Amino acid sequence: MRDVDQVSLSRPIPGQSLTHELRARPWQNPPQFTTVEESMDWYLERFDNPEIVQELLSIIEMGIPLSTIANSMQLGAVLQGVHNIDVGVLIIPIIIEIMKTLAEKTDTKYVMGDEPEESDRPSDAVLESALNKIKGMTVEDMPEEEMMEEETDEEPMGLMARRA
Amino acid sequence: METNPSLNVYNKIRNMKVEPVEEPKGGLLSKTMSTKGRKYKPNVDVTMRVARYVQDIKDYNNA
Repeated sequence: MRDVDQVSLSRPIPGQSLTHELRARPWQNPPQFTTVEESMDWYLERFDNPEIVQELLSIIEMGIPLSTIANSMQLGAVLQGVHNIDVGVLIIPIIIEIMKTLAEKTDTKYVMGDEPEESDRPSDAVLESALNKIKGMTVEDMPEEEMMEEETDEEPMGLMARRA
Repeated sequence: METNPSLNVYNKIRNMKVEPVEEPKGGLLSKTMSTKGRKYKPNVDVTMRVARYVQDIKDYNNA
């Protein structure tokens, strides 16, 4: 259960989306384009802009997955009222393929988003089985700890050395 | 398990078997334009259209 102190108060309150006039937001109006083809023309205009492409390539180079970028792009267009969510979902594969082509043509390293996570930390399942194994062990089964040899500090012998 | 819906859609459409656009033969009432006994119409089905676009971009990239 979440602690009461941790509850964020910066969230919108329930019903806040209904506090403005109906159709006051772009996504509450009929979309500008209703087909995949029309919407693709809108995207292609942006992919034709060198400034936008440069910015996009730098984002790709940062290691942001192409699927995340494509999802954000289509969601942004939905919020602007360019197309609806259904068209947006259908456009995602095309945007990903275009960005992949752009990255490969410009020798930019890209991440798709389905790569296995590289981590030194063992998986939760391995940790769980190790814990269960330890819980099942008796005291006799425990490996004896090696006695640590006490390190004797040698007294410094120099003239300027501080004596204990 | 694949949990990213965007990638899920992308992988499915990318691996889809693309069928070319069928040219109508003999008018709107001809057998070519008939939808009987078919799962979808390759000229109209939106998934097929998107798959065709993805295939075109893929071919351009590999060319």
